[in-house]
Amino acid sequence: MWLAACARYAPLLLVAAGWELAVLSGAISPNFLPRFSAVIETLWELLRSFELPGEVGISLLRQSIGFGLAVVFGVAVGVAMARLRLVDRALRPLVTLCYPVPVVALFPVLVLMVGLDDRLQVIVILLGSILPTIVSSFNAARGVDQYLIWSARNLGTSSRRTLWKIVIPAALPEILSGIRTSLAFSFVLLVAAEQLGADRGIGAFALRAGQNGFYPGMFAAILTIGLMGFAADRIYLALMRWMLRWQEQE
Amino acid sequence: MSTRWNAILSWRPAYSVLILLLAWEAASRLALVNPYFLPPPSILIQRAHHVLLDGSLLKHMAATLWRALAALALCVVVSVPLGVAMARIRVVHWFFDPLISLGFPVPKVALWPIFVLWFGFHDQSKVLLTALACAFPVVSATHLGTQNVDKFVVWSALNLGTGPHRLLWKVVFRAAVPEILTGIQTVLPIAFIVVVLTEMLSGGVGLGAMIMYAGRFADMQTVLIGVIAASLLGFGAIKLFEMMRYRLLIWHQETSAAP
Amino acid sequence: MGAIDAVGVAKRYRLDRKREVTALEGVDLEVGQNEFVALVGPSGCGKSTFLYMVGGFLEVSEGRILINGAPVRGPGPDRGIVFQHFALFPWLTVRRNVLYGLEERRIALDERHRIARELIALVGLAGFEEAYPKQLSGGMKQRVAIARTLALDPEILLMDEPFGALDAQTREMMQEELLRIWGVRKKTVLFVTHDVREAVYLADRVAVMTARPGKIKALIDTRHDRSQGAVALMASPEFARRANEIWELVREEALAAQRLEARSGDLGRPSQP
Repeated sequence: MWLAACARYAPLLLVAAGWELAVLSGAISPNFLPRFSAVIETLWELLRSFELPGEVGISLLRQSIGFGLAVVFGVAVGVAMARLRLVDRALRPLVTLCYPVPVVALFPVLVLMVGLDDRLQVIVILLGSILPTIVSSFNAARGVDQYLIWSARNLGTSSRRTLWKIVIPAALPEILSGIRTSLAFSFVLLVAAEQLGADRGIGAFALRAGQNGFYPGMFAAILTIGLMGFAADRIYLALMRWMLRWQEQE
Repeated sequence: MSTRWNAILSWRPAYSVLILLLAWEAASRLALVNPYFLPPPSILIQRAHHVLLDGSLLKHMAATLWRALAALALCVVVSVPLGVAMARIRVVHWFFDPLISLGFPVPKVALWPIFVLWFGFHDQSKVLLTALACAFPVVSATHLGTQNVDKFVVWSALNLGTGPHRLLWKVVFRAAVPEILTGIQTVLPIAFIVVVLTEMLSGGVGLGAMIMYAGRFADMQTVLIGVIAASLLGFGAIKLFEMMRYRLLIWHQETSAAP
Repeated sequence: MGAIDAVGVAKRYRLDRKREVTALEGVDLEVGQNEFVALVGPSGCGKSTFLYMVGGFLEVSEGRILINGAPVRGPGPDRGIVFQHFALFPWLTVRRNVLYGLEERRIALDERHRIARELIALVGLAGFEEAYPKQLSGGMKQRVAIARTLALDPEILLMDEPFGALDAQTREMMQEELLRIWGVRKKTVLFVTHDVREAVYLADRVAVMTARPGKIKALIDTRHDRSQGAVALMASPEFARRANEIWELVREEALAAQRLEARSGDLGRPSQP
């Protein structure tokens, strides 16, 4: 199984090797692109000095709070809109209006409202992630097979219990899939918010490193961000699979 | 009729918008929300009028629009052939598949400092980064669309005497077009968001730059006008694309009525 | 020498490094010129697989298939095929679907349109030339598929459960249509179906295939007088006798297939039946 994984990801090694050779041979100047090995060395140094883990920790904290809140409220609102006409009537126009608005563009307004601290990043992530979550949860809940619901009612389930016992499990695959997309998006928001106005956090670190000419550090930080996004996605995927283990394999 | 809600599609420019605008006006005038942060629409409209007339808003909008379109064009020109190649040629698939699947959850905006280093602060870096951000979903959609073409449709084409080259263009690609267009539609809002973000980070011309500049002077009205302008651009692009898609895909199962 | 000659044909699939599945083993079948042969058998016996090999879409693992004495080399318009799920080009209108093969062959423009017009009328779809497949019913789509295939006037017609996706009434209607068209344009037909009555009604001979690995179990002559019309024919004792005989054979194989599956668990059946 490991052999298969290696074979699958071999192209990455090729890219890394290509990178190293390109700079080593002088084809690309190290001012443009530090050697791959140099970046890895720097990464290691930053890890050891706990500088990197510190920044990563801060970013992750912001991200998890913002994203966590977005998921909880987003799914709740989305499902509520799908099942309760009143909520749908009230909120639909508002969500539709806000959907095309790029949350990052509101950054200056938010800065003034909240000030330049951690809450700012969290709010950006929250606002940006909540809308797609609402929409996908809504679609998921709406799409539940009507026959499933009728069967449950026929077997004596009350309206309220139907929601918990039928609708949510049936809609879960799609809801979780929507959350996965929101997760990726929340990382984009995290990095954007940090680049725009934070002094701590891995995104800010990368930007600052670039501005100070510390290119290996810059690349190392960006690599770390990439790994964070990738790892988060994989972990979420495993969690998703576990939660949906009852699903028929296609 | 589908009950799926694409929050952009379902906008009916009528009652709901009007009600919201009125509510906003009231809330702002009555200081239910801080009128400094959220000025009433009436004032915004006046200001927008001013800014439009002196040409500055249009200048910024044009810059943002051109960058987004350039990025999309670049993205499509590179991603679609790549996606098709990935579906048809094993080596290409082997090489790019891990790169794509690994890169998908990576926030491309994180690469901004690298792009600045390589391409400077002007158009190039913005357009290229945006194109990269849009590339992944388009490659993926093209790849899947091409791969999932009904085998029997391809066999029918072969049966009717289609040579291998014409097969790819006349049949496989045509059959994959709906999925490819869906992929492109998905990245339209992304293109605008990333362009605006890069403009916010580097200044100069463009809605993002306009917003950040106004923000520094605590000119919330201009900021909001910029935000609304950016939203309208994105929204307009999506609507236009939907119309084009409708014309192109008039034969498609899911094209049941005009948007 | 028949139009189609299959000798010792076998088909094997490799599932993974360890397992291999034999779909067909030692299939011998001869279809004469302008003969209508139906191929029946239990689900998964490989009858469609065999058809696809005659069509040139799949390669033979062993043995050979000859078309008029020459071995099969890939798909081609000499063996027109009609699929169960129509496989129309959804982005083309009815007319353009039918024109497709003619364009590939670069037939002259007015000739192309003449042929298309004729065929669309032949299958009873005059007036629907500009419709898209999505606007058509199942029966209509299948007629377009037939017209499209007949446009190149193939000597041989391969049909893969062509009426399987249609409802019962439409199916019966299409069977009559097929016989009518076949009467007008004589061809060699190899017709795969799981419906025994359909096979006995349409065919000159019916070949029964065994369960996997498939081979020809029996060949029953089903030539009969069709002049009396479908209803009378199907009510006749002769028809019933033949149909029952064949149905018994198929049933035997279906039961054998069930036992095979139960014993060996799921072998991971390849996607084609």
